[in-house]
Amino acid sequence: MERPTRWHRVSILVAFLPVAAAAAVGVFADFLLQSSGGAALLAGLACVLVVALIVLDVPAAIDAVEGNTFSELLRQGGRQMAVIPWTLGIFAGRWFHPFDGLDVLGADGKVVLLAVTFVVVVGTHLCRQYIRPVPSWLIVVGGLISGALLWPVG
Amino acid sequence: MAMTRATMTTIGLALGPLLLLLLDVIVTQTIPGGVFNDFFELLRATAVAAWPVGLLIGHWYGPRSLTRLVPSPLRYIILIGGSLAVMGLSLLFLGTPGASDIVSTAALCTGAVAGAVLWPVQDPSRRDGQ
Repeated sequence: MERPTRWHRVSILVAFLPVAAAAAVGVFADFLLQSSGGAALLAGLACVLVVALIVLDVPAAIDAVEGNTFSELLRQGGRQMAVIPWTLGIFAGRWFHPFDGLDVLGADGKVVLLAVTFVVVVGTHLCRQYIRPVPSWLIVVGGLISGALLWPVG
Repeated sequence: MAMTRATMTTIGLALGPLLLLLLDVIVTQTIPGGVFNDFFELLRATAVAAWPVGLLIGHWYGPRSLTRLVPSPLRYIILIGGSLAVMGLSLLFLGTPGASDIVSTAALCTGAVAGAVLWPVQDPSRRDGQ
């Protein structure tokens, strides 16, 4: 068990800021995207986050602590719970789905997706507990198909 | 001042979902007069975004059985050269009718396989052959 460090306490405090930022993005996205300044703000924020994640990962990759890079944590986390690989699969399927018109359920697809997500998360947890872990790549593939069929963009 | 796993997990959980939300807003909001409307076509009809996303997914979650297919020094050369070639050549599809139906999907799936084969995560719990 790792002892909480000062950096960990700071990171917990900082973790609350993105929640407020996410709420602001959700509320003001349509308004911001209609002006070049607002769009630049969103794109700039996304770039800052990408750079921040990369910059934070570099010291983690070269320090003495084992398994603390984002890639290693994502891989290990995928074995422990399905939420992250499932979510990444859903968004990838949503963005890069083949052909339009796959969402035969229309708006109901989002409700079905929520139900499927619940079943997948709970089901994979039970599988891990009582049978054997479901491979993360299989969860991602399921998320890809679900995102393409139930929540495609466009 | 090492970053512990708990710290990195907290930072990742704080920044990751926000980044995903931002990317989704930028990619999917094709409102009339929206600044990123052309960007959406670039994403769907080329491999510029789908290939890196596929690579990362394969990198993070690829099956372990695929990780030893290509020797280590060679895999990074293929990875970098192949990525530049795929993303660059896919730009030729921009404006081609029907390209947005399949190019990004093919790039995503191929990229995921490439990520699993050529760029596997060094799994700390299994480095010693456990």
